[in-house]
Amino acid sequence: MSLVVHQVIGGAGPFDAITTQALRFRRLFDEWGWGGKDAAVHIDPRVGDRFMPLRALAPAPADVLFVQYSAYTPGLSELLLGHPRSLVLCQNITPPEWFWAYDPLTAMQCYLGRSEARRIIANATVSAGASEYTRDEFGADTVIPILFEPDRYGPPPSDRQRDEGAPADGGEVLFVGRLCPHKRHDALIRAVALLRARHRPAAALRIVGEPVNDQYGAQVAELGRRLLGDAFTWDRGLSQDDLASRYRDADVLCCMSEHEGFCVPILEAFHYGLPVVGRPSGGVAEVSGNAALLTHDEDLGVVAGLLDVVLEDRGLRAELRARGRARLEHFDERATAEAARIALQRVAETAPAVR
Amino acid sequence: MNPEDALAVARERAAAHADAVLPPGGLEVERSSEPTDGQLLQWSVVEPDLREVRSTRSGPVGRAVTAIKQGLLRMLGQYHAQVLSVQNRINVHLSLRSTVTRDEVRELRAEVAALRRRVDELERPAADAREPIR
Repeated sequence: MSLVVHQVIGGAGPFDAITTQALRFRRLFDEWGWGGKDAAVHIDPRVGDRFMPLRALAPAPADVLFVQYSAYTPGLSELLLGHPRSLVLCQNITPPEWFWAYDPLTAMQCYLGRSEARRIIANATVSAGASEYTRDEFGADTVIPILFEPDRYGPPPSDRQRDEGAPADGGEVLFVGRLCPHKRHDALIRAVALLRARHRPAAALRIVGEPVNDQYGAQVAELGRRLLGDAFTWDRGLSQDDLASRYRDADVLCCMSEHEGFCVPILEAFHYGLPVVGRPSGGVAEVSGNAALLTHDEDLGVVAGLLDVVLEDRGLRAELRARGRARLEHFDERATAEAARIALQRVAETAPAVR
Repeated sequence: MNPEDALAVARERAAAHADAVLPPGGLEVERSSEPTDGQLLQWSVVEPDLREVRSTRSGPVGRAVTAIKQGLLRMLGQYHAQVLSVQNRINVHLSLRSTVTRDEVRELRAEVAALRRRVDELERPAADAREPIR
């Protein structure tokens, strides 16, 4: 079945995960011989002419709209209401409660985005979530996971390199993700501080990501410097190659986030053979499966204990590495591409073209 | 060690070292269901950071665009100050009015609840008196 699929996203930017995913989907559609255009409401000049303004998009009734919904998008609900064939893929939208005190504008966007999500889904022919968690949260029909492309990340270190492990009194803990309140960098810093105080005095923490705003970034950095001193490093604006080297150099990924729709860094950690420790919140538990050490324990000393155990035990790391690879197979990009193709074809079958 | 056994070991280690604690203070993220009145008042004052007015392009073109934007801001400074002062006056007034209204609603609700209780107290003896004697 040949389709014309127009993609719609809220904002198109050079470092935006949704934008990258939309471009990858477009390449897939090209491979399948499908036509269509890509549109966004806000377009960063750095993405060039790969996206057209949403207001300029005029889909024919037989065309399919593929919307990746990750934030409040003015006019989207009306567009879907007036178009008979659409697939809406809901990405994670963080509850606003995490942002009111730190970034009210983001809180408002989250509030509007979550309020609007059910209306958007109701107006879609077929709806999907990026994980079972997101599907259930927004009441969508099916799941289309994140399109994870291992070839973007380069080769992982060999098992032998990973087996060498961390020094007996140290180890580098890594976390990759935006500096946002719900990611709980504060808890992560305290967990690593406890790891140093109780088990490994030379352990270090490296965080990678852009802050939701400069003030929040400064608060995180201040806490990191106060509790960890020189053992705290914050990297931002990294290229893909630099990010890959951070993963290769790290000994464990620790994710203390309390709300995740999917959590791509976990798959990235699995790709690089890194063990994962963290909280089983939302999509984290679903993506990790049995390949990570997760705990609900409020006591951050337990998280410090898990970090110590995994840094110490070579056999445990090898087992987690093997399980992580199995999870990567589960989230193989071909499976995601097939899920998207089935959902888009379902749209066409559910809503026959108007002639 | 099996991954399934790691948590129990970690809990034992945490209990064994429970006396090693961290100094208090610093960022501790908290959730809030809505902005506080203080936040509303703080946000109502529009104070754009003019350093943020810049081009998203890099290189000489970006620098030129940034210089033009900054120049325009300086040229239109008086006009913007007037617009901001009007907007700020309205914003501050509305946020204060919202705070006062909320306090008044809270007081009125408390008063209504007290009056309902009083009505119940007064009606109960009358209702008891109407109970048929068996």
